[in-house]
Amino acid sequence: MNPLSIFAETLSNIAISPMLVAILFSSTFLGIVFGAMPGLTATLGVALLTTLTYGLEPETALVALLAIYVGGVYGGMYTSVLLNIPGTAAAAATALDGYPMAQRGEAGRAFGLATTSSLIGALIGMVFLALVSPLIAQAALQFTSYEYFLLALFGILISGSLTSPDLAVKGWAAGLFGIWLSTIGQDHIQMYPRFTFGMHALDSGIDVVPVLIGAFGIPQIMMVLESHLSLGGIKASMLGRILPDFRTLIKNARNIVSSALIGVGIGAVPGIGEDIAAWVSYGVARKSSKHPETFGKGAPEGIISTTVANQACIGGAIIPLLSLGIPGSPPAVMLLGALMLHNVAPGPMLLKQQPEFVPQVAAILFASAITMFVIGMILSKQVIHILRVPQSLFMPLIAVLCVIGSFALGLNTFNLYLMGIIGIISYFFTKLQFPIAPLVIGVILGPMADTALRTGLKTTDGSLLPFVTRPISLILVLVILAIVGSQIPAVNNAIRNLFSAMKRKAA
Amino acid sequence: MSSNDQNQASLDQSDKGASDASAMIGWDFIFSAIIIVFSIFVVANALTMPFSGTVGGVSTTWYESPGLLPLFVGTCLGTTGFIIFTKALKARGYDLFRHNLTKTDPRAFLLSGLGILSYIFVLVTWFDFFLASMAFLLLYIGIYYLGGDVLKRQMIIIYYATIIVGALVFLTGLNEAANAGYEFSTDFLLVLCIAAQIVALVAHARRTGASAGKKVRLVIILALVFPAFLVPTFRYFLLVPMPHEGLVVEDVFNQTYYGYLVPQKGGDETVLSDEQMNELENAF
Repeated sequence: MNPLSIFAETLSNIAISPMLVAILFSSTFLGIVFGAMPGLTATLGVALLTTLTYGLEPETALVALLAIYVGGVYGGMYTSVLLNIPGTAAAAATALDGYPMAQRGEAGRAFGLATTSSLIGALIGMVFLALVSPLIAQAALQFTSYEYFLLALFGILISGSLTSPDLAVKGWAAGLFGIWLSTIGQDHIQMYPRFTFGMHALDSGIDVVPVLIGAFGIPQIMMVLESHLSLGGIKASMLGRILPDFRTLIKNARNIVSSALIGVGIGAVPGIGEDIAAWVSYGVARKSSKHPETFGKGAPEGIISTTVANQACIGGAIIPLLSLGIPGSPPAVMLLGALMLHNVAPGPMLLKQQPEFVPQVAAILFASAITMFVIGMILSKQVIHILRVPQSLFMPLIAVLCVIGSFALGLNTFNLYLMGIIGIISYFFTKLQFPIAPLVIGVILGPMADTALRTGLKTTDGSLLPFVTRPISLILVLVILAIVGSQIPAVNNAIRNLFSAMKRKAA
Repeated sequence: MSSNDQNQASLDQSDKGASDASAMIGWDFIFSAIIIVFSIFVVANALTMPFSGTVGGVSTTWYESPGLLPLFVGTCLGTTGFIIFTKALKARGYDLFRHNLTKTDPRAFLLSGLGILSYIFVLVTWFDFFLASMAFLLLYIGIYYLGGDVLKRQMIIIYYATIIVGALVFLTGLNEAANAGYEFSTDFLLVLCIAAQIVALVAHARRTGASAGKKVRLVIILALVFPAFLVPTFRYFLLVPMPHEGLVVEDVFNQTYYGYLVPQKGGDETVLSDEQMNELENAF
């Protein structure tokens, strides 16, 4: 069966099943509410929904999880535009122009632009997902253990560098701590118990989902409650009539294409997500605009670039997830955890054994994007009514959901303790500006790094030469050295001096 | 806003930014020291893992050792800790840390963090999940949604007194004696806690007037309805047993569900048609 037929069949399966349509709409709506409410994120939404979808078929669960992911990234725009309070980090850049536009009484237009741009971004991301994933997976079949170890290391380092720009070392430390967490329990090769301290509950290692719920849920709950944030000022009447402004969108075709490419590209880089994609595309749109002075004052280009990029990033983030088993963004980390729970192990082998998986995921993404557009256009006012519920009423309920969610997956009280402890550690990490994304990526990629490193070395009797003799390994080693070197002032100065000397010579 | 006001606001903002940045250096100083100590622990522990010879019938070499990755991680973690530590030290990290210590107010963290931890480690572990969640929600929604210093103090005293008494009862083994007659007797401690919390909330409503009365009603209804919806959803729809089932989950929900709802359902299902009987026989 060709991919287009699988795509069409999956779409028709969704469309003719009332249950799937109900799941699609309710998950997208829930995602929008999670995204719109500051403190609740798309990642937390995916995490909590993972628990509820555990008993469902993998395809049905995927519909719910992708729908909440798409809705969550889109929903962040609501409070950004109306109150200048970004619902999610991904929507922070949208506030720069969305809020001034709303202040001018054009909130409906801003919503229309953002919703239509989000749809376009999601669809472009989906096309890239469908086209690029099989190619990367095909190339990844040539990868050996060395490449997998280096990919894991690269993922943690790049995610650490980009999520902690002030001091990348902090991001790396968080990632390394995540890898350490993943080494707890019996190792997969010799069954030797590591860091178990005689506790049998730790023998089988730590479950990923309670760690993810703790890392993404508990710090958010604590910080929102401490901040006493209120969205009481938000009113449905602020919105006006929402209309898709196609003329402005056509005028911004170039902006849309460049933002989508940025979104997909950044999404595909492990561990960094929609927020960075939105900021970078905003910067590029501003630089390439004929009227950069209008940015920050309600320029439609600003809204279009950020919303296209953060939605395109979803497709981008799923590319390495499906083709390499390496998640491209924090919600994709959670998605990977959910897929693993359903005994689906993303990676090149999955795509080789089940080539229909990519078109299926693309179709679900397509359906989620259309649902997001429909809900965005029709039900925005209802979302705003829900947003008026005070956070102090909402957050304790989320805490109870986190607790039952962590317990439900393994029916193990130890998972609750794990979630609580990781939650408190993550709270301190966040307060001390150690990013959480590399930590969870470390937890996810740690087992792969461990097995790949030892298997690779075993095949060559401990020789490290393949790291530099295999072309892909060598490239990865050089990239890793460049990432590490870029944070060492002496190396930076030396490179700068080298380049200026070369320039002088050339002159 | 005049330009002078705007300048003043931006100066205040930059002052705050600078003060936050210097406070962060102080925290980096102490946290990096913790990272270094932790990395030493990781490396020391990794070195106890087999790097050569035969352990438990499995022969190993350095490159197959289960300690290889922990050793690598511990070393890298120590290096990152050392880099952050030296940076913080050069920027007067020690002095800034001491300054931070005198200025930090941990009450917000203690309130939000300790509440969640005690809910997980004490209430959910030892008490009926429904009652545990209700007591937790009354505390959290009560103090964050309603506010008021007197109410906050009362709710915290009631909640933590219950936590302390509960922990003492279970840690000393008193629970066995208490539950000897009726197996969920200890859950009555939470019933008392919830009753006291509701009394405190009602007293708050009386103190502060009619508008608070509405809010108090909402808090109590939400704290009751949310677990009442959540427990059956997970217990009977998703088939997830609660972490601890006692006075309410076992004796009310389970008794009602399995005593009145399921037998009727089961009775209907046991009547099989001839076709179904044939299918069943063919299956074997």
